[in-house]
Amino acid sequence: MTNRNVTIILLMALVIGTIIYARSVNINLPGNNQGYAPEQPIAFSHRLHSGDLKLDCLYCHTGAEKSRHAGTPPASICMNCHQFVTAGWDQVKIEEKQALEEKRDLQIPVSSELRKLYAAIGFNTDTMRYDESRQEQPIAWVRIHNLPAFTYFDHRRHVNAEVACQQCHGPVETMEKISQESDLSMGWCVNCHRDVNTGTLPDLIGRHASTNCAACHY
Amino acid sequence: MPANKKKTYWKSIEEKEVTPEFSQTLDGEFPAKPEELGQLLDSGNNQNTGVSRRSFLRAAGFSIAGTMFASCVRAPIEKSIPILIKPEEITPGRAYWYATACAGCNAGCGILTKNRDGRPIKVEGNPGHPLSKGGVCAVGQAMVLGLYDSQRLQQPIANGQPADWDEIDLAVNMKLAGIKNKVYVLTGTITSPSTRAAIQRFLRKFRDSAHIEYDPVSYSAILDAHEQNFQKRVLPHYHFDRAEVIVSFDADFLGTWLSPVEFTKAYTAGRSLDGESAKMSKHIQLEGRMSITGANADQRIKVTAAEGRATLIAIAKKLARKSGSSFPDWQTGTSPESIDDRTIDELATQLWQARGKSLVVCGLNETGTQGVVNFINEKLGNYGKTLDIERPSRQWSGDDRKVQALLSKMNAGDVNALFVSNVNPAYSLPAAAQFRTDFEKVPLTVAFAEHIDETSSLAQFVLPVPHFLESWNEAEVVSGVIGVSQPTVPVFGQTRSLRRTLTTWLGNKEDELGSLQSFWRESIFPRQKTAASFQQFWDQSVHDGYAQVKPIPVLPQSFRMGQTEPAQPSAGLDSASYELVLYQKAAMLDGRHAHNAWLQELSDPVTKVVWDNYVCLSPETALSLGIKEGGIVNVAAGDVTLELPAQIQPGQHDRVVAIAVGYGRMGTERFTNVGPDWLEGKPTLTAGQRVGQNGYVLALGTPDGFFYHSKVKIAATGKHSNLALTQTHHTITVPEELGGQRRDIVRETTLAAYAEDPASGNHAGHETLQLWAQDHKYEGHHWAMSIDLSKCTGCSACVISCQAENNVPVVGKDEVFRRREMAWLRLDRYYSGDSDNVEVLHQPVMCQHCDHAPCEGVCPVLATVHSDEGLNQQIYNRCVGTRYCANNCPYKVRRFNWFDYWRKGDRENLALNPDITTRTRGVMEKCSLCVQRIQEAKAEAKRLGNPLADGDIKLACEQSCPADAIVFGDMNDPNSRVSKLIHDPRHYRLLEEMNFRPTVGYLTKVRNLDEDAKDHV
Repeated sequence: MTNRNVTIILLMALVIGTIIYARSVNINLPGNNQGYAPEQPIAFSHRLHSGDLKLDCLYCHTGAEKSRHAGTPPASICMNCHQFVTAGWDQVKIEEKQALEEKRDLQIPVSSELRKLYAAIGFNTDTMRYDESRQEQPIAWVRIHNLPAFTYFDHRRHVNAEVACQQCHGPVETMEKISQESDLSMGWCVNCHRDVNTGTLPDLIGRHASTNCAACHY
Repeated sequence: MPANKKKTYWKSIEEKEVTPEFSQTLDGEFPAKPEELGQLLDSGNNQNTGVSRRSFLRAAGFSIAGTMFASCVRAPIEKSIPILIKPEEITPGRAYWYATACAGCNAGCGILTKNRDGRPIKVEGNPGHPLSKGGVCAVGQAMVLGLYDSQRLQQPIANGQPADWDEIDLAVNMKLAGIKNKVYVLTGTITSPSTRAAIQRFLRKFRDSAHIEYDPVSYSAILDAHEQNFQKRVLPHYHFDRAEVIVSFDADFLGTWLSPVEFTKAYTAGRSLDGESAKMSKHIQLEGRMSITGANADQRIKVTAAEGRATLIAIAKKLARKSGSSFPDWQTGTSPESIDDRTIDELATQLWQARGKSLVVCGLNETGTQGVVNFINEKLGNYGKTLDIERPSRQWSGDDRKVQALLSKMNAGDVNALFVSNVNPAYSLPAAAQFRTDFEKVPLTVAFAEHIDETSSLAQFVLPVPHFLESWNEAEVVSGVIGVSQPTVPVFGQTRSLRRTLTTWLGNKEDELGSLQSFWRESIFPRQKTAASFQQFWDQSVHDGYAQVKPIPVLPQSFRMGQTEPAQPSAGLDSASYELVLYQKAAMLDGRHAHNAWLQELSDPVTKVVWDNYVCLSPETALSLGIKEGGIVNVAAGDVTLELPAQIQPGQHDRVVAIAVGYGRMGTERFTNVGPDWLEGKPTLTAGQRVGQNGYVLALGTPDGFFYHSKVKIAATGKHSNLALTQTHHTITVPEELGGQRRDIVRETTLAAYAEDPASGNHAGHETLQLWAQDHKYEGHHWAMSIDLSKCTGCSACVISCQAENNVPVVGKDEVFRRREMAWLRLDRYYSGDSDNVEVLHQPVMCQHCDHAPCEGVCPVLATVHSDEGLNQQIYNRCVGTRYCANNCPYKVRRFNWFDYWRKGDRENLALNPDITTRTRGVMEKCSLCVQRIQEAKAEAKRLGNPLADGDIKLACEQSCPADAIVFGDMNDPNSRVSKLIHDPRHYRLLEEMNFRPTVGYLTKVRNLDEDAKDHV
């Protein structure tokens, strides 16, 4: 009898212990990649571009308002600015100072991260021109927000309904390295849709969000 | 209601006679149970099964634990690789469209390709095209799979060795340098004026040389007859919409004859009941076999070729008398036995009354008979009205006599070089064996081909040509209407078009586009007046996919009766011999697309057989010879014999046997293991076997041309080979215990009855009750579909369109035997009458999207539920595969994925639609009413701030329908087309009396008959 009680207590302790441990190390349910923030091939800073420089999200993610996919920006969009801006302001200042000290001509400072972009698209920073014989190397970004293959999310509908990007993606303008803010689970999607329909979300009062299965699954 | 006069419909002879085999097919939605499971269930109690409760729980527990551990890993790392420099018009995820001209056959319909991420994924009809008007056939739809065919030639071959183009150019030019004369270019019909001109320029260097056009299924006799009668070798351009009486003798103009999509558009336009007054053309078909066209005819008269010819001559004589002219005193051969004089009189009178508004067409490739047809059309004053030879069609211009002359020259060793392009004579000639021997004697042989086929495998040089979806081309299909083909994808491999290769050999360095543009600047641009600059004209033409320019005038001389008497290749049938009819199937045509798995698995519109050709026999003939369906029959014409399984075809003439050409093609061995690979699976073909057998060997080649009718002897061999036919699958029935009576799934009436009472034939009068009127109000959209059985011809374009749009897999022959074909949309074909003289009805059936859906209530995991827009949704990721829904579906439209049909890494997978999930094993699927298109249209309307208009959403089946039989829309919008059709007196729903309230509805079939008016109540 006592043996049995000890067994029960031990088993319960094991279960509770496991739960406490699981909560402390933030184990996710299968398929949930919340908090995923992998290293990217180029250390692009959303904090700098979106936060400090206040670039509009849609300036780079052009697909978001007219397509299902927001789209990882093509390198040609980066080059709109970065064919002129080759390094951060600090780096430019340092180069200016050094050139003055060493009494030489100013060299064009190129940041180490931007070098990767120029290598990919074949831009020569010595001449500040594209190489004629360049070999293009696509940039393989690591995908963070990843829905299963049977789910069809449409950015266009959300952007045109004036849902803020941050609603799902979190405060991107503060992220040095981008990470997955929401758990992107179906419950999370549907709860928001329900909140829209009940008028709980102050920004989206009067709008309708479908809760049909075939709105996303087909 | 005089119930005894009501028609009984049946889908097969087995169903009509209720044979035990047929009853078995009705047993359940799913045929055989797997053996072990069967034992398990049959044993009655689980103590005998060897699986104890304890071990079951242990296994279950282990599986659950295993699954949990296996799924506790992070998702695989995926890369997102954007394009480096984005072209302005391309946004990932958005489709963009190119207008181009289809080259699936010579008809050259206008098509649009839907492109995603740099590749075409779907072919649709171009609504602006002046001929095809938005229609496209099953073959055209399947061309997108042909584009990604992994067996397409990628590199030139010189004497069996891969070579590059520079080597080829050098080698061929060296060989040509030594040749001064007798160079021949043998091609299929070339509709591209620039290619034609390039061939002429190339041949100018050589004496006694010629460009010869050869069509495997030839229409040469029509052109030859016009040459005799009008002194111009032209193919008329037919206008079926202008004809009030259509008499067709063996011409399958709704299926395969000349330009079926254009003809179907025109034919249904002339038979529309949509307007103010019901006006329908009268269509009489004389034929021996059962064709799609015959199946749609108002009156179908069974004739052999000889009887039909005699009938035409008799009609011609009567018309000659009526018009006060004379007709040569030709012997009619056999008197038209099966047709009495009264019928001929009626035909002649109907035609005479519709002078200038009638049309007689004939599918026989036989100049004398075509001359008789021309005489009839001339005397009826139809030239210039229902058929046009001043603006002729250029779709088919093969010349049999020239081909035969070339063959005898080759035999005599009188040919120095032979260039073969886009045609496969070593397969399709009646004397193909002789051709193969003679071909190897020609000093220089060059084949331009997409595949290694029977001819190119024998040639010294094999030069790969691009698929039409990856090349620049044009097609002047009717004088003055020129379709423009543009590349929709970068070319696979190193291919070069015939035009470019020939111009390169002539020293011209222009690329594909450059050489085409130069030709247009010189020859086409001067024929138009609308555009000021060439660039403007060119851009507009490429944008539209066609250009309309001044036709090159053809000035026919006045009619002169030819002196050629009709030839009688199959005359004089005795009791032992039968007339063989070689015909084309709507999917396989002349055999050029035998590599296409979609087309091989498309059930034939009439016979419903897949993956085979066969001998069609009438039930009477089969009975008298003791042949059952699938029994192997020996067909002998002289010393040529062919052994094929028999298919028993109701409505076929007793003295006629029919065999489809286009089978037995080299390269179809690839389909041996096309289906899923599993323990009990059998290959579709045995090793080394081809799909079907070559019927062309039984054609007749005479110096006058090719005849597809001949005299044969047939005998049963006693062997048997099952035909994979889908016609008895998914039959809608009522179980015995519930009464077992037949339901009126298809409804029909006659024009006379319809004129009296538009609801005739549709007076079922069931009162139904809305069960959840308060709970499900459908306040926004309520999607609905209406299908007009009067318009549907059964051509099956919708089936392939659905397959391409919805990623429907190919399952192979063995799985079809197991009733596991995956088509979301099936075309049911019903017969009525006795099997001797049948009437035919076609009915497309897909998920009916019932408001009271029986499938929804039985799903234990809520994987199939109703949307607030009336869609019956199937959620694949929720489905656990109980199959309860399919068992409970009265319409039998649900399909279960027994396997993972998709093979990773196939190039063919590029044809998959990225907007819809590829389903995996163990999941139920069915028609979703193209919900991805509904979602896309809604999102676009929202984005642009426009309300969704009727017609903004076109479903895949609806878009491609050449007959405009399918209409989709919102039935909550009172002005939508579908709302109006729902209130049409002809509208009904399948199994209305069961109160499933489907949102898909049908309109009764109306036949242009004046009798039986009272019977259709």
